[in-house]
Amino acid sequence: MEALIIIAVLGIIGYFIYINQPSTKYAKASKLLNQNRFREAQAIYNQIILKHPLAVTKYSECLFLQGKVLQKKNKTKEAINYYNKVIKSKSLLNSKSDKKSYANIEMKSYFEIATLQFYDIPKNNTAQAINSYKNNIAFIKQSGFYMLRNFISLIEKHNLRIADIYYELGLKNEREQNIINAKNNYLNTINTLKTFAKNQTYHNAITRTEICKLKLNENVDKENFRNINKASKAFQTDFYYRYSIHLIRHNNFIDAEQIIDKRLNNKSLEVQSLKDICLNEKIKLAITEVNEINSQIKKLYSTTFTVEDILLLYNSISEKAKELNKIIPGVQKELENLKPSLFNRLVQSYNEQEEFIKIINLIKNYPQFYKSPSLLKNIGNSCMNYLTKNTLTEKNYKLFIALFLTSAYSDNVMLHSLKETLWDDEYSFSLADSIGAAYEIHSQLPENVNYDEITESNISIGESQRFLISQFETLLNGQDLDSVLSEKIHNFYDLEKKAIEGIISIIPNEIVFASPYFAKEFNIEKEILSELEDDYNQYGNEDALRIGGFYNSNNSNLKISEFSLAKEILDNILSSIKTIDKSSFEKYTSKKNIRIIKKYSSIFDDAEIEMLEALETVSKEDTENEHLLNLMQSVIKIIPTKDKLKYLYVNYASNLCVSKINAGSMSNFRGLQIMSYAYKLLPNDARVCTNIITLIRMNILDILNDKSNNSNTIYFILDDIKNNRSNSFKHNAGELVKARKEILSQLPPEARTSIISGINLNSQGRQLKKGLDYLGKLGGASTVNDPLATLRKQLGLNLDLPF
Amino acid sequence: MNNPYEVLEVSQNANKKEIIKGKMIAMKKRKYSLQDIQMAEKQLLNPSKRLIADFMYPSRIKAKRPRAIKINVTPKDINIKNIPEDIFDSIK
Repeated sequence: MEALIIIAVLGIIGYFIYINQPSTKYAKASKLLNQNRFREAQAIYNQIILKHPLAVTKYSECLFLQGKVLQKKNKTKEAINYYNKVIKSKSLLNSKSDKKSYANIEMKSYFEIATLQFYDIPKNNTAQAINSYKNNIAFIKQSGFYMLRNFISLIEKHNLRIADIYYELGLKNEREQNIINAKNNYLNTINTLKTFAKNQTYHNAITRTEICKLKLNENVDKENFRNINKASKAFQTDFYYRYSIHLIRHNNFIDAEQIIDKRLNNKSLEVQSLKDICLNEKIKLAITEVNEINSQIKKLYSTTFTVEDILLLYNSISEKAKELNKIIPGVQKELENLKPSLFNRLVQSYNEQEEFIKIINLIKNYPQFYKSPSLLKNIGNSCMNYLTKNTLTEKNYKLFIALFLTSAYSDNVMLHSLKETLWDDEYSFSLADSIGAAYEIHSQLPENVNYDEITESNISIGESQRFLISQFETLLNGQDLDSVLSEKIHNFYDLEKKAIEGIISIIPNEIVFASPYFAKEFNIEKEILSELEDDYNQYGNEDALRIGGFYNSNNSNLKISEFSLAKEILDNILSSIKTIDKSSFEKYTSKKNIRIIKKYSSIFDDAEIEMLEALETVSKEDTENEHLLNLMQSVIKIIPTKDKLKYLYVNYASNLCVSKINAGSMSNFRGLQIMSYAYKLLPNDARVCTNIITLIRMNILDILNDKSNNSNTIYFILDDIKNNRSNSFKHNAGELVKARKEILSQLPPEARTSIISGINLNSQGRQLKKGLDYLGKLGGASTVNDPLATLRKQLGLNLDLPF
Repeated sequence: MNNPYEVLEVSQNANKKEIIKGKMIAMKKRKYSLQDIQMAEKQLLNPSKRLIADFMYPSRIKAKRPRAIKINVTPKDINIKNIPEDIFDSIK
């Protein structure tokens, strides 16, 4: 019994110990918390605050959840009270407490308090409200949690609200004419919003700020125009209208006009008045400018107005006229009318001062000066005058030569001169031998000009033109230049002259006949090229394409480009012949290239002649070059009908073979190969025939004497000859028959019989028979006479036989 | 090379009579040497050489005598001070 009592007491003690264990209490409190019995749970957690690590957190959670319950019942103040208790319970944390789990509940409490306080601030636009929002932001910031995303978002809501209030206060102050305060309010709005994405309030606030500045007569900030253009339309119009007035008041009419045109799409009387003010200002300026020009016109007749002044006026007048015409309609034409007079004065002054380059530059810049005979003449005589006083340079010689030639070769220049001069009645002038354009009827001939025969009273225009050209050439020759530049200048002059004479002789229409450099410089190549191509298309005149090459500087005309290409190909072919470069020759004589050359008969005809000439020259310089023979064979393939070329090959081949075989530097076999080609070319040539017959004999003897390794090829060549024996060959083939007889006669009678009958022959016998048979068949006698061979013999001309 | 027209002080339209008269006047004035004057006369009396002379000296392009430009517009009388600023007031 006692034992039982002891056990019971121990059990009771144990139970009490158990139920007072922190973990038991924690579990009980947690159970209560889950049943939303917050106060009871809170009390138990409170008991184990010093004993359990999560007790403070759970204690705070009980307070937080009670706050939430009250919040749901809209008991804001009471709820805030509970959340504040959570924050205060931070002081209960001890060394055993889990601080991390507490921080979470603390953060939630701060957020709930800040949110409740934000929504609790009255929605009026007052400075007090702004303070309340700012205080709440301060509350958030002191929590230490303001860097968390939901806190940042809450702070942003505060700032947006503060900005709105500032903006509204600004509008209120502006309406009440408290402009300085309003401006400050708008600036506060801008400052508050500057870290956020720019919204409509931001753009409007900037616009209102700038409007306030204008109301305060301050300068606006142009940097802000981008934002102003995003503000409400009414604000934009308000701003730009006030700004236009501001600019006009500060005499900035140009900017004002731009703003009005670009930004004030408004047809109100006031906007129109602003436009009129700007226009007025322009009119005043235009009048001042015209008055200035008028005073310059007056000065033109006085000595105080220098050439530089005239040039300045001349160069600026077109631009001025264009601008002034916008303000004073019709003034442009009047101003442009001044230019020719100014131009004449400049030319006259420069001529007096011998400033010929200045005249040339002045005329060059006159639009389409080359269509005016006066200007073309003036530029021509300026070039000539320049040469009398100065030396040409590397930089200017092309231009001066081109300008002079184009001028001197123009009949119109001379005709214009005749028109300007009053001649005594007894004289008339003839274009019969003029060097200018070939067109026969000038559109307007002066009365004293004709195409009649030149007499003492019918003066030759051509004579004067030729005299001018010769004078110019004399001046060119008299230039003190170094030899390199001098050669360049003369070559250039010759080409320019050749080209202009070329187009004059071809083109029948009245165009500007310019030298190539002139045509390129003043962009009139196209017309010339078109005329030349027309001539080719109509008459097949390849000279037109040849001359066109001078004018086709950027290869714009395909036909002329192709002709030039054909010429270039031919030049390359000739060059490869001259250097005996077969690979280069084959490259340039590709099928495509030959097709291009053959398209143009003049080039192909030239090609035949020039290739032959080139081969003749080379063959004379290098008499024993097998590569040249190969090259000749290639040329023969291109122009197979050229007999002269065949004779060139045949003679060269014969000389080469005779010389080399006799010297022992060429095999009989190689000689046969070369001469067999020659025989194909000229089968009736006595020299070819005698040479090849000798080579046939020598090659057969080589086979019979076992001195040749090419018997198959030799017989192949002989078969070819056998089937194509010419009369001359037959006539000279006795040598082969004789050789056969000699060989047979040297054989014993039995062997001879066997050879002839072909019976009982060993391999050597068969070989001998074959050789003798070829000698017999190739040497088959002919009664046909070779008149050429007979003639050669009569004249005592040596044939190459025997080797 | 002197311009023969300038030497004899005659126009490009001068006829034979005027050229000879020009020569006489030039000789009296003695501005140019006798050789220059004779050469100028010779050049202008020989039609072929006169053509060359005409080429060698600049001619004028067609031009009107410069006259003062007339202005046919007058500015309107508008004062910026009379234009109201608040016409487009956007916060009324």
